[in-house]
Amino acid sequence: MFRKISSVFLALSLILTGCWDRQELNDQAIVLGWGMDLMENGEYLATANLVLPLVSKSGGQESGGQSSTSGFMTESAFGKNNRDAEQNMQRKLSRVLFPGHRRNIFIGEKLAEKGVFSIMDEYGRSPMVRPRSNIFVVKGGTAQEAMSIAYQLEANPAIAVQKIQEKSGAPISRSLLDFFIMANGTGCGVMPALSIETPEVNTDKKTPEDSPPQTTLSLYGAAVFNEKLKLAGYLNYDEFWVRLWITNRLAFRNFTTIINSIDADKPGGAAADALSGATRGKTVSINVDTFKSQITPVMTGALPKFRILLEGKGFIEENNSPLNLSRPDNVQKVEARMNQYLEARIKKVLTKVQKDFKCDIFGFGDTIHHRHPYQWKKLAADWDTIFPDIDMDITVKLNLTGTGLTGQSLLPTRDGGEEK
Amino acid sequence: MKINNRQLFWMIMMLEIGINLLISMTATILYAKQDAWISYILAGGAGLVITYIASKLSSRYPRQTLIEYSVTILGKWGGKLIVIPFILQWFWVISLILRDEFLFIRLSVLYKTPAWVVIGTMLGVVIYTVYHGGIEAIGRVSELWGPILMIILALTFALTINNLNWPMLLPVYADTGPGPIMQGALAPVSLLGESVLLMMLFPFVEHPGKGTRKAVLLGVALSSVMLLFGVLWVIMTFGPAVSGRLQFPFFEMVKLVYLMEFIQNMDIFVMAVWLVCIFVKLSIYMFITSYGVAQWTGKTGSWKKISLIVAAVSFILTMLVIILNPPAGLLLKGVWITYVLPVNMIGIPLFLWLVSAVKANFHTDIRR
Repeated sequence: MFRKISSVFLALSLILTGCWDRQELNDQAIVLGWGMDLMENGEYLATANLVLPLVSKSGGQESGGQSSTSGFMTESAFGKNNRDAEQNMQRKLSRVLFPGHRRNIFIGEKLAEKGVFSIMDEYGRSPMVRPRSNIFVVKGGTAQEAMSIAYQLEANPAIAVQKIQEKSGAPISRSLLDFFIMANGTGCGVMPALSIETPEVNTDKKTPEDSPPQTTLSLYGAAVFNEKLKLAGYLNYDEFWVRLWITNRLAFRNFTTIINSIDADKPGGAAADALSGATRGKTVSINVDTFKSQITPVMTGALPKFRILLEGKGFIEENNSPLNLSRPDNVQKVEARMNQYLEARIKKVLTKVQKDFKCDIFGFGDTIHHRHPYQWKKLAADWDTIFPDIDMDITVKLNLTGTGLTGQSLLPTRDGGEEK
Repeated sequence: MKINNRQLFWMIMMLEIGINLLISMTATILYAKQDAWISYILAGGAGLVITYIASKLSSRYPRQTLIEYSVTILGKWGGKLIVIPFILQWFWVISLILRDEFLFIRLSVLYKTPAWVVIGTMLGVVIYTVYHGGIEAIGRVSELWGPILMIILALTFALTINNLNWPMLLPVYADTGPGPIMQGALAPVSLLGESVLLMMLFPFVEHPGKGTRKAVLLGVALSSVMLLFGVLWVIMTFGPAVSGRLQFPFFEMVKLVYLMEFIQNMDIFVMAVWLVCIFVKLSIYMFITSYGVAQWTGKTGSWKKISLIVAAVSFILTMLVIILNPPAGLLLKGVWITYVLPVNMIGIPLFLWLVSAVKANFHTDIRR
């Protein structure tokens, strides 16, 4: 008896459960990207990047010639916040918005300037969304502009920016989470920044098959937010790695500097040479793929100081200088020159952050908190006023372990070079 | 109906880990911040002490359940009265766990499914097991799924290792101090202390004795270690501030698994074993409630019929909890920690033990 009843109930539960949450794929509009902009009148404009279901599976039969339709569509709506805009957007959509794959969030520059505090709660609250997400600020543009660009290599611009970010040497797909963690630490935040870039040189399309560079999306660097979560400024592509190295997150990076002379005592010109804007000449490029950072707070004196030791391991990839790299002492000269250059470069970025942005995005405050918790209790409240004036002592120690396929260049010796 | 020591070990372990992973972490991290792991060590120690007292007490009456030996110790009236808090606690636990399970399921998977379906299906499976298999079936399920739970948890810890940032654990002790750390320990202690229900399971073990005590203590110890790892991982992943605000930080951490592009979305495995944990826990509670009520009313033989009534009552109670929707934090703090922990887990077992020890001495004195 009991067995019968229970089997009926089990069968019923198989049939019944899930019905309420059934959502056919054909009834879903899969959201890959989500953008928020602030309009002049104070309303938010949300933009959703949706997968176009019919096109995304093409490539099989209907792949004759270049189809002019793109693999994605964008839809937008005004609203008071994310959810409100989503509901308003639903009016235009025949399918239910499904944000389960919403891995990329775009923030327009205007909104970032006014502060992201008012919209970011949903990104951590919504149970539909996965915590591994990217969040980007669109420098000099709106989220909608960036999301509308057809990116050539990928079917979808939202996927494109995610992949670009993965190739930047920064931690993969966790900028949203890191923003939340940072904002809870010293109060500042950092997001990767995108920009819309027109081709450097305009090349005409002479035949229909030509494919000159087009306007496209690119990674600009990082956007820095102050403790009110308003945009304080940007670090460009040649600056944002400094924060990643200091906070021990950088995965790989190339560095290029200029080496003029081969004088044993003075390896190359002054550090200022490389920073002066000279972009060509006797350059050396290295590829560094192992990074280490050690920040030591020094608590003697009225203000804390920091000793920053940055270590890296890499190899030489390009050498246009007269140095003969088959000789180990010349490799050491490159190392020394590179250390000098990087120290100056990092110092410059640190000063920019300290004086212009006045936010501790490097976690220096956190290191005091971690190492000297009792002293930190006195400093914590005024940290944003103390931080711009503290001294940093930066030491870069590179270890170059290789010179590529050749020691001495395959090219004949040039001016100032050695015979052997 | 007999279980062996190994089955009891896995039962205790699954019972302790499941709900603790879900609800105790946020409460602990909120108080003890980055020192929550110290709280968990303290909680593990306290849990072991509680378990030791309860198992020592049961060892004195290896053939009797709590309901029976409380009568032996205190006499008919005293014995029946003193176990009333336990019976209340069991009903309370069943309905609250079901409520928590429903909330979690609704937040994570089934957004629109009505409450009665989620609860009803779970209760259906539980009552099927209890009615048909009794404690033996529960023991075997635990023996099968316990190791799987261990493997999945170990895999989770291994796969999230690249998200860890150990300086998040600093500074140790300086920000909190003994007060907050102890306060943080209360939530996990009160959940680890649920092992006192071994007082009901003891006579079902094949050869109750020292080995049983060891199995139970080991179960509590191992689950404390797992929880300790869990809280360390959570703090090192999210930092104390963010993990103190997440409702289910452990499961958010699992969602972060991302390895070589294709190892993602591990959370579904963890969710599955977690549901089995909850199932084991509910089944154990359902069994001891039915059996306990049957013994309490003096109709031990008809405990199966009583289990149906218990299921119906728990269903109604759970729906009531869901409709009234009391905040989970209040229930954990206001009732569980303030009443159940001191009374049911510490007070009554200790009192019974003392009385029984005094009585035993008294008897030997008389005999002499």
